[in-house]
Amino acid sequence: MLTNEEENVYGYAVPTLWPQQFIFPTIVAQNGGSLYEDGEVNFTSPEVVEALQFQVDLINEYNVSPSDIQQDGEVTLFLQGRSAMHFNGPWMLEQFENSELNFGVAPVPQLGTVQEAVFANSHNFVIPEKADEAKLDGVVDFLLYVQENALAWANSGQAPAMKATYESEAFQNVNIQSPQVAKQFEIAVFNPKVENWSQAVNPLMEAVNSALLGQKDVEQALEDAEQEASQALE
Amino acid sequence: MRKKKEIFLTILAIIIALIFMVPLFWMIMTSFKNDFEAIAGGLNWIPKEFTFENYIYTLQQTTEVPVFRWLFNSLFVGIAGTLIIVTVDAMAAYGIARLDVPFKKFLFPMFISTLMIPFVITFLPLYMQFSNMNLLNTYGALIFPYTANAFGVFLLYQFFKSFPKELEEAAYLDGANKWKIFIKVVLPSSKSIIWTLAIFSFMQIYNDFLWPLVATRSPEMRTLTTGIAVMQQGSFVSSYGKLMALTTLATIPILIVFLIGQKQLIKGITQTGIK
Amino acid sequence: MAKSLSKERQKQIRVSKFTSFLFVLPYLTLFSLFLLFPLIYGIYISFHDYNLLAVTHNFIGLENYVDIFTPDTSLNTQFFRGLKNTLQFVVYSVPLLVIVGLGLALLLNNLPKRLTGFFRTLYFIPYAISVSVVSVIFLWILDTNSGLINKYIMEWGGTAIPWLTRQPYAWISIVIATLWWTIGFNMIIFINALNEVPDDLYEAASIDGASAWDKFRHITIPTIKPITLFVTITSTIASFNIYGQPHLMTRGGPGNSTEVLLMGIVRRAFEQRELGQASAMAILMSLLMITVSVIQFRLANSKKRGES
Repeated sequence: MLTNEEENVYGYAVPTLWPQQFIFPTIVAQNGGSLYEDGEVNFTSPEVVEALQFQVDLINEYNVSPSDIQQDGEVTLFLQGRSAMHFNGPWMLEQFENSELNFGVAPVPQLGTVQEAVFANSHNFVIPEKADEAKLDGVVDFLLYVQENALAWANSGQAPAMKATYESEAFQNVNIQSPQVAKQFEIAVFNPKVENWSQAVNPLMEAVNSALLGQKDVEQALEDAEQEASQALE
Repeated sequence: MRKKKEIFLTILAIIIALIFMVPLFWMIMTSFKNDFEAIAGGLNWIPKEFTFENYIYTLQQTTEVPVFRWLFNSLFVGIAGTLIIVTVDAMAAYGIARLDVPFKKFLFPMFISTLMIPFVITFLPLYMQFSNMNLLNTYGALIFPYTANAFGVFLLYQFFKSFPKELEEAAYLDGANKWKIFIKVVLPSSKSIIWTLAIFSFMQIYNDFLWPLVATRSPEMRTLTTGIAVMQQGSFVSSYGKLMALTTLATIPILIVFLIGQKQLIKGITQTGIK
Repeated sequence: MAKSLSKERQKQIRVSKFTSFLFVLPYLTLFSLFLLFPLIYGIYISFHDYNLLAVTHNFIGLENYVDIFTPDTSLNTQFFRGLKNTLQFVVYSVPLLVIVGLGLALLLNNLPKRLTGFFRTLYFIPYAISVSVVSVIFLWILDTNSGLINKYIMEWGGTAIPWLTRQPYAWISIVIATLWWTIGFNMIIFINALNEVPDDLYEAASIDGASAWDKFRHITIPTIKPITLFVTITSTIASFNIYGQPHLMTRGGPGNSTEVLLMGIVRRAFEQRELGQASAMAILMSLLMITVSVIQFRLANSKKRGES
């Protein structure tokens, strides 16, 4: 039992803003669900609803998380040693290591009901429509260069896009987090391939925020978000 | 009876003063706590372990938190903007108040009517203008938008209008030209109001948030105000010791300017109130 | 009449006008480049379908504006939500900004003379600080689990208040932070206004046996009316322009209940890259602000005519 309310210690503080952009789709995928199906926004499907309800229950039913966590409040709790588990990307690693915190890193567990999965996002290269043809060769050269030097990219905590790199010895020593992350590359799930999908994510994140903060109930929040997301994608 | 009332009011004033000063005091004290103590929050007003490490860390960082660069940017933009504003506004205000500027019956109302226009209307097109000319993320982009504001012209116009004419007339009789009169006679007597405009402009520019946020991209071009916001969402998340050190550093220059220029500022504010 | 002046004189006049014009030229140039031109350009953009990544930007007339008013479009939802939130903030903050400003001025004016300057400085200092510093300080002081305020509340046996994550506390927090930050400015204006009220008015009233409250109601308040109007209008404009505090303290939350109009405009321009739509939103917002100011001005002045 990691939670002890009297001592103000909790098992897992549920974030209400960032990085739910990663956490929420992860749980949805782990439920076997998807946020976009057959050309339509799918926020009110049972798997999505369950994903949100589960996190809300962590706060209200299971009491493993305090309520009303403000932005980055869960990071504060983790650093104070009052939240046992914490999800995060590479951005906080240095700070955690510089603190006196005693912590380790493990792959993302299965919080959903059906399968293991992890949501992943990427940094992308984009070539504009009106690009100069003469520059395309140079673009290819640059892409090859990035590929060959994927270790440098990995050193900043990001996931390298070259299999050879992340299977290498050097990669295992980049930091304590990346090798753990790499174990789950095979089960990574990405955003639906919809133009302007980020516009649909905004209302979804607002719904997650509202539900976790007890402002709206889960189904209502997701319904409103679905409507707004559909509008945004039009 | 009078004494009683004074004592009561003084106590009230002290309580209110505490309300105003506590957040600042807390900020400064937190900046001297190491991250662990800072984040423990709690009722530790004075750090158990008084440390300078946050300041050292923040000032040593050069890539992510180029604090000196941010400080330089804020000061440079503030000073440059202020110099331009004061010079240009004084000339324009004097011209309209005292000289035979053609179309001034049209120009002046046009300038003044823009005082009602909020920044929200111009900040997007300004962004596009600078972007189209590839001048975003430059000092020019940071400085020039502030120079179009008509407030200074308005303020100085009022002042010049009520300036006694005898001094200028005497100088004219001595054969001085407009420019000489402006520089040698009028300006020296306007020191007070010009300082007011300068301090006010500097504070507005130094503390501005939205425009520098939108107009700059790279870390080296940011100002202190936007840099703080970036750090608060970035690698200083939950590092309240370091964050407070950064905000304390950012506040020191402006507080100095403020405390020195307070009297001028107050004089100026009260003058604009009387429309 | 011009004919009766010699050619020499005419030339003198022209030259004089020209040199005078040179005084205004620098400001006029900056004004045209960085205020007048953007104003027109902004209106121009608002009549176009202007996506930052698109190759062409078509003229679409008033379509952006129509979309804003068409129910169930994303533009409509965003604009009116933002407007509703900004208006809420204006309604919550302006009365306080005026009344507390006046209150502090009254307090300071009634203190022993040698203390006035000292306290006035203390109350005015927060005004010198930037919005990001103010937001960071309050973000930490109001932290639900570890903030100073809640720690004291819990020490004294209460339960922690979710300052930034629940309404109405989120609005309360933003209003309090804003008051702390900017009230000094209004206070200074009121101090000066109060000092301008002629003493003999008060003396005459005292002779007639008026109480302090009577004096306040019938002498002070009417006399400082123009200043009060000025403070109300400037505070209203400042509150309409709110951006930093909700962006940094609550991120527009909880949910989107503090996403103010300016935030909506910034998001539409830089996240959705729809500059035409954002410009239309900005212009509507400005028109609204100008209208509100004019109404405030008219209301106050018509009352004046009523009581002679």
